[in-house]
Amino acid sequence: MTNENLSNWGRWGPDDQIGVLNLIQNQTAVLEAIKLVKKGDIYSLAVPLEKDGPQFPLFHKTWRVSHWQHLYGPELDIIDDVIAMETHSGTHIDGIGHSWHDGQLYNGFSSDEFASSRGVARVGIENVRHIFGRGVMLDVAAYKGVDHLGAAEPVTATDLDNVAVAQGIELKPGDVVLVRTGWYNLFHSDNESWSRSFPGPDGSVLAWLKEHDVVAIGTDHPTCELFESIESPVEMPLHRHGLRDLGVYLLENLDLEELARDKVYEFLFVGTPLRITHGTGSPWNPLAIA
Amino acid sequence: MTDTNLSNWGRWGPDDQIGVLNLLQGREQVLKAFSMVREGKIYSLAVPLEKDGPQMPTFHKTWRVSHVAERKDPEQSIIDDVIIMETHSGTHIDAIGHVWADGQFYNGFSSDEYAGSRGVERTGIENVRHIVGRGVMLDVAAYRGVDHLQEAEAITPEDLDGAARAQGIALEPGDVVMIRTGWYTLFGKDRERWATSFPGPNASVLPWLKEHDVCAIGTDHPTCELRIKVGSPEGGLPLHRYALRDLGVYILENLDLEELARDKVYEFLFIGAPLRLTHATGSPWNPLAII
Repeated sequence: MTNENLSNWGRWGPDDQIGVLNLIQNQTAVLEAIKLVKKGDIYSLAVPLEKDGPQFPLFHKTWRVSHWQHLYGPELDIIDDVIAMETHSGTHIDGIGHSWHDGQLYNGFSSDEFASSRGVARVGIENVRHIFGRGVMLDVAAYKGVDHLGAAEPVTATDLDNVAVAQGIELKPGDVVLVRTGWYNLFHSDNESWSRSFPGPDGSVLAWLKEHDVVAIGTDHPTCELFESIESPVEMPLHRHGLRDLGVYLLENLDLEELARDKVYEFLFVGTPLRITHGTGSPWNPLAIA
Repeated sequence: MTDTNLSNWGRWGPDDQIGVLNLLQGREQVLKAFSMVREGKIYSLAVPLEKDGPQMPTFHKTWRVSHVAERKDPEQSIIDDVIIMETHSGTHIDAIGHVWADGQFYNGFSSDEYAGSRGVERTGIENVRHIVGRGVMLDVAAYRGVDHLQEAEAITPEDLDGAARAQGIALEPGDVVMIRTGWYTLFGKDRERWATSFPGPNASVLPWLKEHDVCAIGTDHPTCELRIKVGSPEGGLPLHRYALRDLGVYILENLDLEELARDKVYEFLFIGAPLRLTHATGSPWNPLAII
């Protein structure tokens, strides 16, 4: 069950598993997005994926070990790695099956039936073969004239509208919206503050996402939510309603610093999740191309 | 030390860590590659990443488990996963630091100094922020009129030139070349046969890679080599040994080229973005071909 005003259930049929991504699955949308490539500049938006990199503070750190095989005689040595990680580590995308309540996943799929330790057998990340469309970066920190927002400072729908106007950007259906809070700046300068709380979009943003038919919304910290304290339970309106009710993807731990430096606010966004069968999300390395 | 005829060491300076990818770093190259997009059609070239998916038969299988965190008030459940995997599982890219010989990596970096259980501190995959360029698919199976090549069947420069000519393709410096052997069609039908040996390019392809200044070469099975018997060193690994280490050419493995073959798509914009795994020897990924 959803609040009808804030729901996309049934909009693309009862079997739909990809949500608002439906809006940019056609060739016309792809060709439209390609037109945004004018200079040939490519920005990788991924943070380093390593044990000491930016990761959700309550998670086990990504673990990687390399092993060396001397199988082929003195003339060749091969070195491989094994990684053990949360799929929601580093820069990643949340599948719309990452959150549920009242026994239902996005589009009404039963959590009893489809969610378990085997993963999500509906709305898993393997349904997202690529997110390829117009990307928009809204630099809320620059708009407010600060290096970064304050601890647990909310970003409201009004903030997003104001930033868009200031940047001369008009939202279009199917946009991928990246919100810069500047919080990533703290990762190196004050790691303790960085990991204690996060500024982020509050519940007022949900109606904004629906109004603009946003495909995905992301931030430059580990969770696309307002966290007053990492230790205590928080409302997670974007997880609760953005993913499950609207079918809007959440993008976390984006590095938006180069885009901010170059004042690049509009670009082709190309994101390719790993094709993890029944996965709830995937680490990735999305590109902004201008 | 390398054979100077088959080496790119020093070509982009003594500190270079990205090999032939240097040819694709300019804006002009990016704009040229994007100008190939006419239809707006996107193909994902990744195979499923799951325990029973196509992976190197001698590796531990990719393992994933999901865990639910439940909260009662207000009721909300969050489900996450943990994944444990070889970075060279499923569809992936080999970093040029994936191999060394005679104590040296690509460009002469010392393996004693830079390789350990911590990974490779030079020429690791984190240096590859993206591969965006022209992709070319050479359908050797279709060229020979077969569903798939045979066990340990060799692919030579004559095959590659023959397929390119038949497809009306002229190679350009910096191309990402993907070779379809058809071996992936066996994966669903005859898993045991699929896992026993692989057809693939042999050492004769190395001068061809150098001549055309290929940036990356890939196949539709777990190793971009001719494997007489998987798990046995017989025949060596010439592409790993010379393409990665001496030429700085990337190797792409386990590509799904079936849709491209079905639609006869041979030339496209290639976009690949490895995970930014610090000091890792490769990365799983989901590359795209766009026309």
